[in-house]
Amino acid sequence: MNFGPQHPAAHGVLRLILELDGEVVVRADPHVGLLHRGTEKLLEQKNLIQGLPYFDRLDYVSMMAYEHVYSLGVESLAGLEVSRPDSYTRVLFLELTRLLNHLMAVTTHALDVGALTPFLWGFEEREKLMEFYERASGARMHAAYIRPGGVTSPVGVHFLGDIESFVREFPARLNEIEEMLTNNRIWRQRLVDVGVVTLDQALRWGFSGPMLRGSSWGWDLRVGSPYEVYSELNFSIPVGLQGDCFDRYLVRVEEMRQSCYLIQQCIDYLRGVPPGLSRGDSSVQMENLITHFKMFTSGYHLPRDLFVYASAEAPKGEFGTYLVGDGHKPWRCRLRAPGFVHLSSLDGMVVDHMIADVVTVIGTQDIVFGEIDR
Amino acid sequence: MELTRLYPRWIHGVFLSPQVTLQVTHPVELLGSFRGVLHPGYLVDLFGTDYPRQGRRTQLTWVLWGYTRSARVIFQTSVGGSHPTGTLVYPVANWFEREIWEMFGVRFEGHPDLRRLLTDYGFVGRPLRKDFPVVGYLEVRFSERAKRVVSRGVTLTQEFRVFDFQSPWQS
Repeated sequence: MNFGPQHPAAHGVLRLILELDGEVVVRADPHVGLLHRGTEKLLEQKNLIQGLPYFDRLDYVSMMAYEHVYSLGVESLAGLEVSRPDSYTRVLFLELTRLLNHLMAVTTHALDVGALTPFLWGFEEREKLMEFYERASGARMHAAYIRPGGVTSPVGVHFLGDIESFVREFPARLNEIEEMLTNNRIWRQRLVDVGVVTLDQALRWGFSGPMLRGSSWGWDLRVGSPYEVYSELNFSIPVGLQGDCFDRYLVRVEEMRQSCYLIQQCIDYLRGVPPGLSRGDSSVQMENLITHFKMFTSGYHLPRDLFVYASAEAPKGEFGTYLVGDGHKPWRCRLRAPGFVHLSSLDGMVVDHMIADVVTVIGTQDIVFGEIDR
Repeated sequence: MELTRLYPRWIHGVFLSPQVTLQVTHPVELLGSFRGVLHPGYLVDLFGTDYPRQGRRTQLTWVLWGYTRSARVIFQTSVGGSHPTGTLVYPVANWFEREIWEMFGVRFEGHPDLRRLLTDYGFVGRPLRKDFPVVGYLEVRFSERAKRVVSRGVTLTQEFRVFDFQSPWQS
């Protein structure tokens, strides 16, 4: 049977061929690629600055997390240092992005299994988050804010105040969503013991992110191989015990609370930074302005035949990019999308489940086709 | 360095910077032996890179992560037309190998299900090879007369432009 590509629960354009025995799934064969845009090929044609916005369009619900990995890759090849205030600003926005993604993941998952209300509430909050994106970069979604070498522009004091008041209120909104779901009888019946992934399976299938942490393996790149300033910040990694969809839901909700905590720490740090410290004087001196102009028109250069594999903990799991330098363009830019890996083991997760549970499992995998198809 | 002594015939180059990278000859056997070393570890990524000037033009790269040692290890090897599959060692390699097959045309011997993955049904060509044009060969549109999607050769109203800045500036 064909599930999708137009089915709303297929989260975009997943065409899933299900072999059924009555209502029980015997085999699931995902046909992906309906949103394939050849991003890896296109990136080979663009210089390093032009390549950045493509990363926003990979996972279009957690945009900045993906730009950030690209920036990490370019920085380590070009040997750039990021100033500490910029690094804190990055973490601030990365965690806002995590909220943005997990709100989408949890609430649309609830929508798929029949609870409409959290979706409406969650999207109200996402709207506020996108306004923060807009204030930082001018774009609601495809921000191109985190760039190789830092961020586009520092955040102002008023902006920080607004983010702080959002973060203060957000746990209460999260409580409302949890009141609707966590002890809801229907929600539990649909999620508990559905799509169980044992730890062994999760490791063999190469899971990462909440999918792995739901299976009781407390692994997070933010702690395991710290980048930016995560090693200086205080937060904890939630872990599920059963490896079922319900545990992954709980992990995501708790990650949102931890993100709020991280954002608060970043705001406290950034408050102490005197304004104008993180910026160079590119707008003051003529020569610097020329350099800046040249940087943006002809791009800057990467050493040839050197490569790097940069990765970071995107909200969905480990996102990695492999860059080979070739002058001002990358010779090869490989994108390792977490959703691609998760979806490839969909078959193992849904076999012997009812057809309605397929929807639950797709929801819990938190797949977005921008990154899977690339 | 230890590793080159352990597997002298399989590893012929080690680079420690910027990341631990091994140039290897029998990657699948090495993956099998390495699974014990990295245990518990996983295959993060497997992909190809095209170097058309080389005889064996596709370079395959395995990125591995070992949790207990917190170490990322990269294996690289150059292959021609075919290569043994790694799906028996790491099941996650399944889709990665399918993608390499369709993008670079490397046939993985013993792969359980080697079909196209990301491109359109019936797509011809190896898109990530350097000699494949970025605009492709065919474009699709809906034909009102035939009442279905038809494909025809690509016609661009404006030529695809690539600006190659051969500037001596900061090269």
